[in-house]
Amino acid sequence: VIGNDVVDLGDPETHPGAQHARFDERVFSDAEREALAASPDRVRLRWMLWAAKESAFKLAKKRDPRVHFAPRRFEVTIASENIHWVRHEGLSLALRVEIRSGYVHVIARDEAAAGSVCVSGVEPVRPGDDARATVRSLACTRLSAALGVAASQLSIPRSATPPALRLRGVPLPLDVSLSHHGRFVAFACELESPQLLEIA
Amino acid sequence: MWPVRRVEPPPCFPQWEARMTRSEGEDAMSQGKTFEMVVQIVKPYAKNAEALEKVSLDTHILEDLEVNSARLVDVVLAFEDAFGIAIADEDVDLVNTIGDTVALIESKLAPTR
Repeated sequence: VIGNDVVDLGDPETHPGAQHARFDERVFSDAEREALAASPDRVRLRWMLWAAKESAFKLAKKRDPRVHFAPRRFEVTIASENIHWVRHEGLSLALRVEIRSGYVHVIARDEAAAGSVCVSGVEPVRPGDDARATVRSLACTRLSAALGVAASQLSIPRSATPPALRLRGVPLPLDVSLSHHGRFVAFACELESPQLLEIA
Repeated sequence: MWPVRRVEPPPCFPQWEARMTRSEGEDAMSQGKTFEMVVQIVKPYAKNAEALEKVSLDTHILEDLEVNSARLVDVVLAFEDAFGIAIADEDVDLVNTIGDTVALIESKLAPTR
């Protein structure tokens, strides 16, 4: 299973002071708050940590529906600039972090999935477009290339929670994660190589 | 005028039984006031104005009003401030529809009444 989250760094919601005064206390651990206090770019770090927790929560919830939405319990460790981990009650997840000027995108993967292929993407939503349709179109287009099938044969029905990828209406044994914030949509999907060949 | 409809409590609210000793009228009045406060608190965070116009006890805060998960933290903290209650992480999972939220807040307020 996989989880992903995107945060639009240009959205007024992410600006300093836009959150409740106790937001950091509720969401971040002591160590994370110390890292924030010492950071020269608190906005970017705050939302990277948030996206890490949110993507890990999405993954953990798929594994165990009893998992609570308790961001503080998902503890983020920054090993180096590009290597991050989240730990939650015995679960250890590797994070792939992509920070651009406009957004931060985080993908959480199980440690055991290190050998598989992760297909992902981030795209801006055109003004007036429906973000839910845009993210599904993005995921189907990118995955169609990876799977070697026409994008029109893939679909992700809106009714399914969590999102489920279908090929000609038949559910595929692939986990997909969708996200949207502000001007951006993003997705991530884990493909194991044999699975990819079998489907193709 | 808020939509008059009894909110059936989830089975995990032990305080609800005690509340039932209060009159139906008191319950309805209290739920109505809580409903109005909940809507006012959620309003600035809702992205779907159309759903907000038709808000009812069945309106889902994340899916219908399109409050995102980061903003849900702000909403929960605002509930704590407005009602003088504490909402544990475990209880945040119960903040689904407006009706669920009213029931949760009423259950937290019951022992103080």
